[in-house]
Amino acid sequence: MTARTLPQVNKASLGRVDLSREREWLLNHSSEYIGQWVVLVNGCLVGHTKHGDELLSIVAKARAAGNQVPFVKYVADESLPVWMGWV
Amino acid sequence: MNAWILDFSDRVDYSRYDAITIGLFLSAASQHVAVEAKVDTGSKFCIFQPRVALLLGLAIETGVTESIRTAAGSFLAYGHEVTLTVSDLEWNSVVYFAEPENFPIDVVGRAGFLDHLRVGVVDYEQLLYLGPYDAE
Repeated sequence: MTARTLPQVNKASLGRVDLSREREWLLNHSSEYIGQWVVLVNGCLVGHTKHGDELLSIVAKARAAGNQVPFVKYVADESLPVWMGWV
Repeated sequence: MNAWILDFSDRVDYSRYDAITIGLFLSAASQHVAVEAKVDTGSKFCIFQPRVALLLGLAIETGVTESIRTAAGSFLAYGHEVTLTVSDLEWNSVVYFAEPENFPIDVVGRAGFLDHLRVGVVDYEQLLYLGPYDAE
């Protein structure tokens, strides 16, 4: 085994990642937004769109309102076949 | 019988997902976005949807080009350096953004994710254990 540089891993400067509220929202509401991008902040929907081109403006509004790390998710149709991974 | 004991600084419950999934932040040029990503130990790279790059202000096609092969075909992706934040840890990595507009998921794999961490999975309890790799 060749010598490798140790990875530099630091304490998170943005604070701990906790998307539990976003997950809760998705479990309760994602079926209403299939085929759309949703943008959430603190577990609340701040915008949604079917058009990826509009996503940036929704995120920009969330950031302008002081939300530093908006959550984005494309809501896929869960009736599609199971995802098997191995990209 | 040999016994190995590993230490982890964090534990993620993925019972509310249909796959081993983590929440993470991606950051580049002072822009941040939060996403959910599937943990894929069979993936060499971390690959995200192209829209995520745009939200970070990255011009996707200026990145390092990589042809990604999968069981179902191949696609191009572009590598960019970002900061990943997972649990309360962060590090800089090159991750890839898929070229196909309809790329369906975000995935974290070996380079840029697993190679920075010590990871354990107890799937029966749907728990993912994480800690920084520190060679101890």
